[in-house]
Amino acid sequence: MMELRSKGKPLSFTQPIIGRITYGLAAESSILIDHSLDNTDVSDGYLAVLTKRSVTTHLSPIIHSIPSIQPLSEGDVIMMLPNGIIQTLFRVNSLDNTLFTTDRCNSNCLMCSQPPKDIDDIEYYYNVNHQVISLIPSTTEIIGITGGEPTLLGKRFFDMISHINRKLPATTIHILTNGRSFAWKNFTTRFESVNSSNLVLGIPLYSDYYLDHDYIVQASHAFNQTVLGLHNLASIGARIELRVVLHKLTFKRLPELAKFIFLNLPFVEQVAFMGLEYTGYTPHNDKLLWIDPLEYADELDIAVTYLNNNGINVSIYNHPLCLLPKPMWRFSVKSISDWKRHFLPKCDSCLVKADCGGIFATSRKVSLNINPQ
Amino acid sequence: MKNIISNTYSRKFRGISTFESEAESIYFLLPFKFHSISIDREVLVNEIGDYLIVPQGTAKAIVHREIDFSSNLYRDLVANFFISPTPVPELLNVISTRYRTKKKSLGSFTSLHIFVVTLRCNHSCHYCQVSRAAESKSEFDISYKDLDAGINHMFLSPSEELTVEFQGGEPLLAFDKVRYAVERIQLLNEDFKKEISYVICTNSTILNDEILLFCKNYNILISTSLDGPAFIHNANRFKSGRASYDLVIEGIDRTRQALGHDKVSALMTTTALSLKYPKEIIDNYVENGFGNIFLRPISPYGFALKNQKKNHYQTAEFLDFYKQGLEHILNLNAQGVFFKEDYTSIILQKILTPFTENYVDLQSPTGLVSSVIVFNYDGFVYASDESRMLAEIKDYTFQLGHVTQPYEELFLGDKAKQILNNGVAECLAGCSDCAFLTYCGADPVLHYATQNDMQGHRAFSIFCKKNMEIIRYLFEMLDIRKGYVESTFQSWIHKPAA
Amino acid sequence: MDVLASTDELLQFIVNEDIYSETVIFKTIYWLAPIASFDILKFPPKSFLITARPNTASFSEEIKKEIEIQLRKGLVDFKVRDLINQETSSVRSMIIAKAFDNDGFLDIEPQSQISDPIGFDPTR
Ligand code: SF4
Ligand code: SF4
Repeated sequence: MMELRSKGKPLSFTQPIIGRITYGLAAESSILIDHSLDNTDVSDGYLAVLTKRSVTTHLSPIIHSIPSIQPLSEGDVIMMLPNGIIQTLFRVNSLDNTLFTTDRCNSNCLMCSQPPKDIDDIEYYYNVNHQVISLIPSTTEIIGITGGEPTLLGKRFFDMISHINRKLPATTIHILTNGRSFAWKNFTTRFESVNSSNLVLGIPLYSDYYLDHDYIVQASHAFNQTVLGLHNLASIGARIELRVVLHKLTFKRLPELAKFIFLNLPFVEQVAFMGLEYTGYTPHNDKLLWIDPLEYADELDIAVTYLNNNGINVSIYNHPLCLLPKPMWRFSVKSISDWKRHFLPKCDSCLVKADCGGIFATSRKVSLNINPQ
Repeated sequence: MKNIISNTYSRKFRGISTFESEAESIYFLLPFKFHSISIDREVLVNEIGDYLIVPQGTAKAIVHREIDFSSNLYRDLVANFFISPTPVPELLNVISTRYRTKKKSLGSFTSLHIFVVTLRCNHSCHYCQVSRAAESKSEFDISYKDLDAGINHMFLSPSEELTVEFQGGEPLLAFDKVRYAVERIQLLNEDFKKEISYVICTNSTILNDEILLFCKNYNILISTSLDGPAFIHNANRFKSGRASYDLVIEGIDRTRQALGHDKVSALMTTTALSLKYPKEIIDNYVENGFGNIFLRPISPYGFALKNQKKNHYQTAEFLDFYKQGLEHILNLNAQGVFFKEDYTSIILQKILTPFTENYVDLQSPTGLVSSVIVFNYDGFVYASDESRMLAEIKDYTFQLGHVTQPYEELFLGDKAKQILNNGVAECLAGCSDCAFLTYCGADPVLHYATQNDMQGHRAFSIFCKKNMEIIRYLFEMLDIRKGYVESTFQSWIHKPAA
Repeated sequence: MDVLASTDELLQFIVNEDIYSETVIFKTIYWLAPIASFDILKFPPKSFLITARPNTASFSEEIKKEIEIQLRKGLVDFKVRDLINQETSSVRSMIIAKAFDNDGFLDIEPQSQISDPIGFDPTR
């Protein structure tokens, strides 16, 4: 999980504490940040305290002696761990907040940026997220739900969505899922009871040919399950965004995939083509996956043009403009996650940097063809 | 049933060959058809209208299991539902949903209601079989009683969207009837709350401010007749007094000013003369600010009705006309003029999209009765505009009854059933094996009119001859001229005409 | 298919019934009706006799050629179509039945594994 962390010395607590940052105002579940703190106890009305100063005793939970603390705003939600780590779980000033639901996944994509683990962590994350949801402002525009595979939460998946629906009725919920679970009608029916027009499902599809997709996600039957799931979701009016990661195993059939999408999945709200994030499993599978984006420009062009001509919204995410054919530029969207957008030093001289998707901050390999425009 | 939860799982990556070897080493056929489109190419079309253009002999190779599993063709065939790795495709639900979407028209019922408010006309067009030149004889007008009855029937249609079309003769010669009908429909619709649109089919020569204001108030569209440049239009449409062409153009301008540019559409009637001038006609439409044209064949509902030879000759001529016209239109588009041909667009929508267009001639089961109905000036009810033309030459085969009869008798009676039963292309000899079936339709009226048999023989059918060649031609274009032509075609399907 | 007779008034072909069924032959000649009129007879022991007579006074050489070419191609094509029809008729019925099954009676749940190592079951 890519979130900001700091570490200090814990005192007076043994269980993780989740609360909302404040710089003064005491309120329910608020965690005070006060660096001018002396040894007097300021815990009155606060759930816990964070400070750079060193403290020897404290009545209420505190993490002190934090050498450097990530910038936190009033209202941000953090978790204090008994080992002194401070994790930011929600930032009020960001549009990229996600609730991480599990490390578990029933697929194992060759290019997974966050490799799954076979552990049952569902209750743990459910409880964390449950508290976070209760603490974040109802004015929150959008919140992501990610994993692992969130639908593996089963009952907890629906519990979590209805909790968000109750607490944040105006917030857009964006769920990243492989969609396979929705192939089962009763799972979709249960989802229907929590679905709303605020909810968008981001579902990946990597080929129009089942075996290619199954191979890429390393799970037999995944393609058919996902496509059936997409149809079940469409039948309940769910909002769907399809995601296609661009790499050596997907690019050849992009035109065919585009056709498959329009003919069989015309109900999707958007198709997002995304640059490859060179992290997680990807470096390990470099030989299978890496291709210079210039080499797939033609196929991408055909696919994007076809979908656009047929009235399907298309976007290209996380992609350097200089590696896209010019006519594709208008489809380029800066990035889903602002903190993931990164540039090379030479990008500074580029005239289109402001509109560029850039490269993944996490990517350890970039194209040699990046060239200021 | 297999356990859906797997417990033998490892995070070790598996190669593509592992996945391939897990799959069946044979494939199963899904329903599909094929048609040769040139000496060396054929098109494969599956049950839901998706196509692949491939080398001749591919269908045979597929059936004889000669397709190499590692080829791109194999992937194409699986992904496009021509073959399946399992006896019953795992995506059966998807295929079925797509099938239902393609047959969407089955769900709705009669939406287009044509009211022939009068047979009177101020023109005497040589190709017109129905109208009476006498402008003043009101015995050729529909009666208020019959109008009321027709309107009542219309509101019994289960369709949520209704289109009311006023035809003639020249319907505006009986404007009082049009006005009466619209006002009554509006009144009744306060209870029924249907989505209703109105069209008046007029020659645009007698539009006045009163009529235009009325059209504006009720958002009525004007469909006018325009056969092309003056020398064609005037030759086709004889009128005593001022030349028809000037009056029409005047009428179009006036209507556009009053109602808005997009409220006027034009309909061309093709005659033997027109067939020589596809470019001129199209250019004339462009000059007059239209974004589309419907290149229609010469109507066979004249007196030469059963003259097979002449019909076939004219169909061949029409196909040349159509192709030249289409080529010209594509050139216009290449020069940046957005202009489309309507018949092509209807067929292309069926070929290139998962949806379908409810166009009555290209529907199976036939759209007669089920999507269009005609209330004639004398109160008799017909299955289509062509059906009432037959009646004018004393053939009442497609007369469903009189408007005073109950709804069930008209719409669900024996006549209606007979027409429907003969209008299912899937069951017609020739069509049932045709690759173009999904894009084509059945036309019992035309087959009856030309062959004395509602089903007709496909090898003699001008309907088949026309559609088979147009569809083949479109596939040929999609095959050899992909890029620009295909994206122009896509724009026709998705963008409304200017 | 062998040519048995070829005159200006008559064309005859022999077709092995093990290879081409009556249906295939009839479907083929259906489309040739405008250029000739046809008769099909059993030709023992194991063949059909196809007889073509001119619609007008006599056959021209081109028409004769044309009929033979069209017959050969037609037989092959309609046999392929026939094989597809036979092999796919049950799947086709399933597609259509499912398409108009509004109550979900014919729904089939996936028979494949969801493959979660911890044991997620979407049906529960
Ligand atoms: S040079 Fe850098 S900023 Fe410019 S388009 Fe390329 S990646 Fe983007
Ligand atoms: S009418 Fe002709 S082109 Fe149309 S489906 Fe029938 S056989 Fe095919």
